[in-house]
Amino acid sequence: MSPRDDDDGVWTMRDDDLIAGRAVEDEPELAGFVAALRATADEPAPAPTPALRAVLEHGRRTPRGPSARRLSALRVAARITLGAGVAVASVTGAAALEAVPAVVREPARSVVESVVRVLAPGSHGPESSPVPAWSGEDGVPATHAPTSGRSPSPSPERGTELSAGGARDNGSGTSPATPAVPGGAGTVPGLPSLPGLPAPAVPGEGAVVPPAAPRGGGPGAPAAPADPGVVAPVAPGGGDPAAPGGRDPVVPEPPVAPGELGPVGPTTPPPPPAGGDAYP
Amino acid sequence: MLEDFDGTLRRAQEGDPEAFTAIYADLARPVAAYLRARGVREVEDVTSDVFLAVLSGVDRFTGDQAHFRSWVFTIAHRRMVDHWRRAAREPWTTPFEAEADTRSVPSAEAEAVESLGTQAVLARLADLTEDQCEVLALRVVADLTVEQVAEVMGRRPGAVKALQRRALAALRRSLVKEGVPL
Repeated sequence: MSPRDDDDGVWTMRDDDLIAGRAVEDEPELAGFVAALRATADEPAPAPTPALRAVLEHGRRTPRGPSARRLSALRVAARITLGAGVAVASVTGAAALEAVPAVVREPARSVVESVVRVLAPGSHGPESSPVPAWSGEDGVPATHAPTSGRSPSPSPERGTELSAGGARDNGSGTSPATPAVPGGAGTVPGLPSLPGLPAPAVPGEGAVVPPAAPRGGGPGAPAAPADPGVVAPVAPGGGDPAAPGGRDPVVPEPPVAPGELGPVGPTTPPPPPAGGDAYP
Repeated sequence: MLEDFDGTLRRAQEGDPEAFTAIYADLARPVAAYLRARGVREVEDVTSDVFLAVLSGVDRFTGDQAHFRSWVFTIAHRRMVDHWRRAAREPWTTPFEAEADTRSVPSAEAEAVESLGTQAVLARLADLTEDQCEVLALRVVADLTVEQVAEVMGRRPGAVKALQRRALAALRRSLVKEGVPL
């Protein structure tokens, strides 16, 4: 340790003593100065300004916590709404625009159809006619059109076929199976009506899949549950059984009493299929 | 020093006015003294600004009482810097209004002696450099450790120690030379 280090240590100790207010030899002036400086902190506190007095008397100036929380919640809600809106617009646009590749458009259409089916269970008849127009627009031959063969099948089978068709529809989008959505197809002539899809279609996304599960129609039968709900109102309402595109399978539903399932719509679990198994 | 700092802090974070008052009562005087030592003219206003900032940001504070004290003086330090920046831009003039002057004079002699002492101390401090004055004010008036002062000033503890030593040496020379008792 050098003499300088010694000096540093000594001075540091003296300084610390001075700052701490301890007595230091030969430093009365400096010790007095530090004491006087420290004494300035004993002077009375200044009077608070009106703004500070309000806080001291009533708490925080503004209820920051709640409002900040509310604001952030609103922000999150706005983002979710915006995201959902963008998603709906994207899917709808993908389904409606001709320029979109079929690979993208067809799944989008099937989604839109499913949503329309759920949201407009009462629609029927003439709505079914536009569906074939989709096939025409797409230039995709209605190879699946002969689904009319399903019409005679009893409800369980129909459910099965529809679900299978629905599965296929999801792939093709232009297949006649989609017409199983009378309401949706009807309001979507060549998809112009798609824009009319209500924003609430978002929640409907969930409805695209779920109805099939409880039916026992198997995972690939999303359309099955919709049948009763959709068809019930159709029959009494004068639905068009002769819907082109082989949508007949839906029409023969009359046996389902409108009063029973009609009002309930797709939300009511449909009666289980006869066989209990949708797949043969 | 607050006896139940954790409880007071928790209640202040919940918006309890009594906890705010306790914090203010504990720190207002040293904060005002620090600002005074640093030559701030509107000590009342700036002190209130400091505590408005403290009380509005207290719900985000985590730490013990020593850290809290450092945090409060960090805010005070920044307000002081803002004050001087503002003062450098605009001249300071305050018209005297007798009605607004609520100061009371308990005793002319006592006031004179006290004022002389405080003014003499502040005048001595004004002879130091900015950083030396800041270190002494934070070390003596705010009663912060070297490490806390370093945190407030954004310096290293070694630099703070060096500033402290130079400040005391300058004062020593000045006091001995003039022989002015405080």
